[in-house]
Amino acid sequence: MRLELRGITKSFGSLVANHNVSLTVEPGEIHCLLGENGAGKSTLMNVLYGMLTPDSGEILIDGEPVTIRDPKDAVARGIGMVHQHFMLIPVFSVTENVILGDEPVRPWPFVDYRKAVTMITELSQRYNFDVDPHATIENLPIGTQQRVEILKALSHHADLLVLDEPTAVLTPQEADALIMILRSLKEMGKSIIFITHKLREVLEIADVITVLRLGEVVGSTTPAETNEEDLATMMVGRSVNLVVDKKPAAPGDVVLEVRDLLVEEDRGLTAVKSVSFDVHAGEILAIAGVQGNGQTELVEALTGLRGVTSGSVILKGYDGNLAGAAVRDILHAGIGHVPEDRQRHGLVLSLPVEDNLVLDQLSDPRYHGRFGRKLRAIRENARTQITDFDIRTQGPELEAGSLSGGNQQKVVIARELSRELRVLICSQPTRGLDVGSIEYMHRQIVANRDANVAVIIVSSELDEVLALGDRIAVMYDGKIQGIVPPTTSREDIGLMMAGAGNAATSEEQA
Amino acid sequence: MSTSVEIVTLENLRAVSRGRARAYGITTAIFGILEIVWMGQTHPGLNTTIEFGANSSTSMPELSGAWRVIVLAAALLLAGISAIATTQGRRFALPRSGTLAVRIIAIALALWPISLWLHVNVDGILRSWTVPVHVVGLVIGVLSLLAGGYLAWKRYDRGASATLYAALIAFLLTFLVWVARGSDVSGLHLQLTSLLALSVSAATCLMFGSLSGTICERSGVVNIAIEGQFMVGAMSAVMFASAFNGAGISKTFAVLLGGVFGALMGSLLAVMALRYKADQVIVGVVIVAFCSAITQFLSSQVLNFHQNLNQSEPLPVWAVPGLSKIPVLGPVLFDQNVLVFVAVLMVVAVNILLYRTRWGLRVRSVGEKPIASETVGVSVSRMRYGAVILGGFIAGIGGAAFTVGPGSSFSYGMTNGYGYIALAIMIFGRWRPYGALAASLLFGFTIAMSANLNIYLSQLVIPQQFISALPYIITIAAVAGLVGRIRPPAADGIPFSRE
Amino acid sequence: MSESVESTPTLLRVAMRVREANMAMVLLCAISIAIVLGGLLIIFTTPLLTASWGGFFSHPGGTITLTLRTVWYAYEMIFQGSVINFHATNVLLHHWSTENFSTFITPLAGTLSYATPLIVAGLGLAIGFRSGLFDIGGRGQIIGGGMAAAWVGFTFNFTPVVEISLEIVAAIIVGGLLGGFAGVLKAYTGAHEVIVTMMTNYIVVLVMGYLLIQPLFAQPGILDGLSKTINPSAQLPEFLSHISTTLYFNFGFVFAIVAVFGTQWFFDRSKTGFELLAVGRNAEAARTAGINVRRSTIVTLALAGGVLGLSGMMQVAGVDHHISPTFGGSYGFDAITVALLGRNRPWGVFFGAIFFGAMATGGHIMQAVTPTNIDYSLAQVIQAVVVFCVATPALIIEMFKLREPARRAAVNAQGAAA
Repeated sequence: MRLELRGITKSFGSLVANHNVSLTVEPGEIHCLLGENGAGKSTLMNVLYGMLTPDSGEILIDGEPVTIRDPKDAVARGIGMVHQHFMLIPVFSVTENVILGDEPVRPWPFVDYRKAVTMITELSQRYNFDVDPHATIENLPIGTQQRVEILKALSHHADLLVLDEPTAVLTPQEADALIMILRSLKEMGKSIIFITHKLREVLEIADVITVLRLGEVVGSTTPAETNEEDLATMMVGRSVNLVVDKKPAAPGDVVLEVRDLLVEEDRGLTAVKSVSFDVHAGEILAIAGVQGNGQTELVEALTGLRGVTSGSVILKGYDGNLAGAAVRDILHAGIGHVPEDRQRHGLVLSLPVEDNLVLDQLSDPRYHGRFGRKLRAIRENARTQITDFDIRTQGPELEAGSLSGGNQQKVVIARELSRELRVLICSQPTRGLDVGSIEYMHRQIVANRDANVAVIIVSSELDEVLALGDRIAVMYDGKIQGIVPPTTSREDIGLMMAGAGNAATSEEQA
Repeated sequence: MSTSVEIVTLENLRAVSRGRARAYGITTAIFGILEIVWMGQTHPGLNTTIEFGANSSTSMPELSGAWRVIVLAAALLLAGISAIATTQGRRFALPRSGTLAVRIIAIALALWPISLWLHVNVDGILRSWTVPVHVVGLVIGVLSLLAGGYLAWKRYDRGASATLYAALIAFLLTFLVWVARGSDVSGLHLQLTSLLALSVSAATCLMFGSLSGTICERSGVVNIAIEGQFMVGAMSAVMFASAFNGAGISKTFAVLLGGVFGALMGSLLAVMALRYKADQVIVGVVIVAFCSAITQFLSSQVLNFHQNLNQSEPLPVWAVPGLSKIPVLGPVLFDQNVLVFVAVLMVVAVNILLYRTRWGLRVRSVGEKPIASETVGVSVSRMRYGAVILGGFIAGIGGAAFTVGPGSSFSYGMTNGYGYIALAIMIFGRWRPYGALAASLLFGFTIAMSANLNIYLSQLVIPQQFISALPYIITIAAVAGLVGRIRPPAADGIPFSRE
Repeated sequence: MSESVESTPTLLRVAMRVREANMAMVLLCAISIAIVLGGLLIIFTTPLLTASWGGFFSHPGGTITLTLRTVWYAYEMIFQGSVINFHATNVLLHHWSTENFSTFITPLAGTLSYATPLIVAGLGLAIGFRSGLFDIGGRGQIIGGGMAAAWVGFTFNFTPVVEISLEIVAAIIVGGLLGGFAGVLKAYTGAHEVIVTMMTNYIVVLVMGYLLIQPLFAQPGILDGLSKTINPSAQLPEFLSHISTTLYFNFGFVFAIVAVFGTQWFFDRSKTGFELLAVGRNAEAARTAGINVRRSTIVTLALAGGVLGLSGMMQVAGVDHHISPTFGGSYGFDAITVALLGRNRPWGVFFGAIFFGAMATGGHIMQAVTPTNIDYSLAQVIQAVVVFCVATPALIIEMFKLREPARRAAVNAQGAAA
């Protein structure tokens, strides 16, 4: 299939997400769409898939202009989408998931499951997918779930596959397997749009690369004509300094001591398996790893959000074990927490900005007196923070939900940093941020380190980990594979993320 | 909830459900111990007479020796088929929905020759049994204890629910025998058959209600307005039927009209919840308030002055030829008001609808992860509208089961909170139609029991009010998860918007 | 933007405000819908009118006059029965006397007296709703509180101050325990509070039925389950008894106003109140910020239960003076609708409850005096419709083509951009 997008423009209010974007995908081509977070890649693909209606511009399939009103149209036109967050129903079987929306029916209104199973088995064999049609999705590993997503698109006779950040949740091995699959699909004549912000992958599989920045196409190229540095420059718009500007760390005493921590996830399976590490004052410990290897649970356990099965967390100067203590006690002990999902876990969107700025300091005598909450002091504090952290809002009394994403993040950071901190824990510090905000965030983290705070960041972005971390702990399957200096090569860290233990490098830690 | 993506193996899941099996086993064993130490310690001289057959069709044709063998063989055959269908259903692609019916018929048929051999019915007339109370307590207690202990030890997951249900029913029956102790002397026989028959008819409206809840919540909308749908259904049906003097077909239309009014309330909920994204629980409660006010107004303003609009004759009782002659189960299951059969058929139909049809697959998907359905072109709001309106229709028919079914007249407040109990039943039944059926029968039994125990008031140590409170207490226990943590549809009660 | 507003003539600005979906506008529209609907119900259910409409074409004018007159009369009687009786006012203006004043004030006193426990009950439920917990166990908690207060009232014989304080404490404790029970189940097992509180309602009603025939509570010699009457010292003092002994308006109203202020403070200024709000809006964020969500859930429901218990006490000590099997009847459910009508704001609840009080009092007068004895539940239909419209303003906004209030519109636009 030959797809052509011409002059697509889409704006939300005053924000222009796509401006006059044009690109062409030839049959049997792997077309990489490269761009920073917020560059408009997802918006563009949602327009293509009928989830959003463009303000102007047209879509041509095999030279013919088409209107795509909803996903159904897109599917009918042979467009298949593999979303970054899988669109699979966890409690359904593979069969049910694949046929949903296009069920074989005979006699009406009954679903012909037998036919469906046969079809899936055939497809699975043809593309060498190895998927059991009867398995329930939630019991399958992530890589297999992704194959089910692809299978779903193929079963709808997709000629063009769009994959949105497909490798974000995969181990390097799974990512390799995916790339193999994509190559074989390409040979069968399918067109593929591969969305990513990872330069290496692009160079490895793309036929054509289109780079988006701030909603506009900045250029198109092929792997042969370019290299990582050029792509990065195109992507960010200036020559980027991948290394964060920071002085060498001057680590002080050990502030936080984690020993043999064992944590269970929601279903009672062990997610963090006997993890031990130390964090010094004035250093950044970056925890790297593919998503879902226990980092979330580790952070939740450290901040008291999740119970601890066994093990200890000792904070210097705090009497006793912090593991399993109440969240409030942990926060009072001087641990700051910027959660992964700021909107859901960091803010109460329907409450005013000023209240969100003191959400974890309600009992602080500055804001709470004999007659209840000191509303004036809270307002005063909000005004100060808004100036100090440059939070763009029309007033402290407005709902936090009325702020833009980046400014919401600033509210959370301002709140956490306004307390006396000994340890700062930041989960995925730059997820969902634009380039400017990322730099701001990195500066704040480094500034805290220099102010002698012990900082832990958890990130699945290897670049970020390498740029920020003074030491890097790699987590795999709930265990720390090793703690290495930031000078370690990407390949070695990649191997550790995939589960290959690296005792040699971690020993130099002592 | 953690936001990370976890990897779960089949082994781990099995471990979780085996834990559930153990909990069920222990609960069953506790029932057993209760029976042994409570009912088992009754004074040995006290007996209870259980009378079978209180319905019209108690007399039963005698079977000659050869026929007995044939009937028994047929029963065994059916039992075998149902066992195969249960365990090997997928391999032979047998329809699952039929197995329950097959199983019931098999049990029923087997009872027939067995009761003849046991001389429960002599000369075609069902007799009664007199049993010593402490023996019943001890025997059933020991059986429960053994079954529970075995389950807890083996942790066999597939039989867990069934065992627990059986133990609960056995406990309630033993309790009945104990309550009626000494009834062989006084002549206050325990009318077991009529009690069970009453349970089934009391369960009818609960079946409709919980099915309504199941359909709605499977699509992701909480229908707390079932109570209100009951009210309008009950009132409109009785008025329609009375207006036509209950003539022939008019009753069918009356029941359907009840459904239509229920569906009307359902669509009100749907519009508010789906189009305007109002809080579903608040809308539901306000709809109940509205229905309550309007039925109260109409019943005192209109029905009070036009008694002829509020007189309904019961729907015909339909005795299934042959099957209704089966001892105990015949009158209980096959000699009932037509609406009871409709309710059971509705359970089967809804099960097929949800699990075998395209519509059902889509409805379930919308209730689990609407965004995923939307990306494959399934319109979330269209599925939800359909489900909520259908749910309202079924609940409205359930309302008709209050009035037109048994032939009662409408009185304000007659729905008695059953609409809310229906929601609890839905949870108890794990958002599945057959689960709803089983749970409805259980609740129906407790309702019938609390209504029937008045004659034994002097025998009860517990005040009658507390027995009446039993359904409510069980409901709380159910939602508080004493029967195991259950997982509702993931998107239940959460409004969906595409952007 | 600001310039254009300033240059707009005042009249136009008022007109613009009118099209905006503010509370007053929504309420106005809601009441008009309710009145129209109620009118239709009267027309359809009054035999005289249906007969008249049957012959509409022979005497169209007469039919319409008759209809309007009947409907108008019903509404007028609701108003006169609950707010101001025109005749009594007239008499009072011409001839000022205590007796005439008493007749004049009777409807208003009746309304406020009915509203008093309802205000408190509505506040109790508002506490739960604001933190996202739907406690519909109002009735059970009211009964619990009322029973506890009654027991204190007929058992002890202290001075009024001590006695009434004791009643209050007992009522709050029992109500709080009932609410807290649902809270504990919700916090530790995730049982939905709607079902638990609903079931507690039924159980409590049965327990009340049982206790009322036990010697502990039952009035000697009466078999229909009436409790003993509470001692005079346990009764809330009447305000207007010196004017006429048939005027009922007790000290509870002062309690109710205090409760409104208290709730207002609790919501706006107290730490616990703020925590409840935060948990209701986003429990996960609240938890991350160190608020104990479980504790908050239990506290909310216990507090709500306590306040509902208090309202039961006010009903017993102020109005009934004993417990009858129908005690708490429709109160619990009315309280839910009052809380929704007041949109969980303390003063909103206050006026919502007075509206309900007026409807109930006026409704009974209407039933008594209208020629066809239009049933008082008409008032309940009107209430239900009003609450429906207020609880889901989107419908009204669409029907009357109102504009969304400015602030919310801005938020929505932002939301779409995110």
